[in-house]
Amino acid sequence: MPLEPLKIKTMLLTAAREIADHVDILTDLDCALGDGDHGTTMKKLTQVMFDQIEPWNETTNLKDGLESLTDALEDVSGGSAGPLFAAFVYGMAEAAESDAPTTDDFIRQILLGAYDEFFTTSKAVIGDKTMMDAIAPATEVIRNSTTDMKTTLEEAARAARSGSDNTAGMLAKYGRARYIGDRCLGHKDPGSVTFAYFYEGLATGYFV
Amino acid sequence: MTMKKFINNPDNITAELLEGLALANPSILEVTDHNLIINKGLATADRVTIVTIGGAGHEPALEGFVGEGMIDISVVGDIFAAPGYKAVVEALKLADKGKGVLLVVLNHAGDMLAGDRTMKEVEKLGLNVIKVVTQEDIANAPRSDAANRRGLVGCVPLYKICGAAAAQGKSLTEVAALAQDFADNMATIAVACKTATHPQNGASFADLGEDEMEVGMGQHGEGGGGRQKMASADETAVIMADALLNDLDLKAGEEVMVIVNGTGATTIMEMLLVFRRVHKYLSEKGIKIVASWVEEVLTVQEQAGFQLFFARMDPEKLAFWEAPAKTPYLSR
Repeated sequence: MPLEPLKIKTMLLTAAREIADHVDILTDLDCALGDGDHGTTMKKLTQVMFDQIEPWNETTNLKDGLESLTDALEDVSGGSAGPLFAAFVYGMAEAAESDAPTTDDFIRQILLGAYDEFFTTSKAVIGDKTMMDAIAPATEVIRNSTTDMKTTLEEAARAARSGSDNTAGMLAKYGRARYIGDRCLGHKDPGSVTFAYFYEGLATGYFV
Repeated sequence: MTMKKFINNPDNITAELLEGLALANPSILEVTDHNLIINKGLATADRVTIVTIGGAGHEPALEGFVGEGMIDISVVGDIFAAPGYKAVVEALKLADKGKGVLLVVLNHAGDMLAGDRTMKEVEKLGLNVIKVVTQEDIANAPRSDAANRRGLVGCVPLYKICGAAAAQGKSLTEVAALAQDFADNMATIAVACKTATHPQNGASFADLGEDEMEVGMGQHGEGGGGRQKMASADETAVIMADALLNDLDLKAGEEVMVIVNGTGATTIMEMLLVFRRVHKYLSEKGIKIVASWVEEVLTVQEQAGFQLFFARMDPEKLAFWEAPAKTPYLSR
């Protein structure tokens, strides 16, 4: 089913807004585990998303738009979250067919592509206490869903949130949290929380 | 979250500190777009050049060691954050004077991602670059698991030794081999007794108790090792020296460099007490300190504590360490 062409724009902007509205929570989480900069980094990255995506209109080729967005995200000095987030968006750009109509299939395609590129760059798997703990379960829902896109995105968002909640019980394998051993237990991985907000924003943005 | 720091708009800290560094050292270095700090001598350099990357907030490192005889370009990220890879590629292009570039990356997640991404572009562009990773923190992983060891203060003497080798006309292969050899023979352990505040958001990193210290504290205040009761300078020096001696397997008769690197809120007084004990302790074991440095080199804001660094030395490395350099925070 073709959607209005700017559905993707609304979804991505809502996702970015959802993250940007919670940077203080992300900062607090990162202070418990890392060096306290995840909120600051996501504030910078989401600002790039707003700046890049706001000008999209009916004539924007989404593949080009996503590529430019990747380019701008890669310019941000964003620790490890920067390149990882950029890899996610690059995966969307790679998977997008040029000048394709924005259909539910298009949304599915780019979100699956985002996972692939994120995995290639991060090499993380479920259980490593990273962004992947939110991204992988959400991707599985999107990959296997046989229902409508609205329900799919809502289920994906719930899977991301629950995957992120699970990170509290995990020992970290990547990033700075791995250096504090079992003291990271009881704290959620801030990157996974970011992606829980991201998928929740996508679902909300689809519905708007 | 309140914080008592002399800053302006937190978003502008990095740009403002780099501008300050350039204004304070106009004959040594300049700052350009993408937060590159460039050795003014690079313009006429006809030798291997040295580029490094890393977040700000650790002053004087890394960018305070840009200048003749050390770093040619420091690609500075935002506070505690790695720079984007495109700035690194730009720096490598600028730095390549036809003899190749040594790229030094400290083992931290963001820096490593930027380094890997950079090297992909280097291959595409056909630049002559060799990347060396410093990963000498012994706190979290054994020597055999270097990928899990962080890069701490050891990068700074490495810049000095490689910078001198490059200045003396060594080839890129030789400089890189020297860098790797030095990196393979160095070790650092850190201790903290009060944690730092992130200068952009006022957040404290950890919650060390009043009577506690943590051995194995990382570069950014992130925790890492064992929490224990606060100990005296002498006791702490021995705990840390033992760990380094063991890791490096140093034997009587060997020669070492020792650095006591203050992380921001530990006084030179305390650091000298620590160095004194380390010196006596190594002497008792027949190990000779041929190079020493007690200074704030690579800091973590107002974190109280220090990093103790040992490196196995030989006459060639010692000569490079003692060779001339002209940077804002190390000159001879």
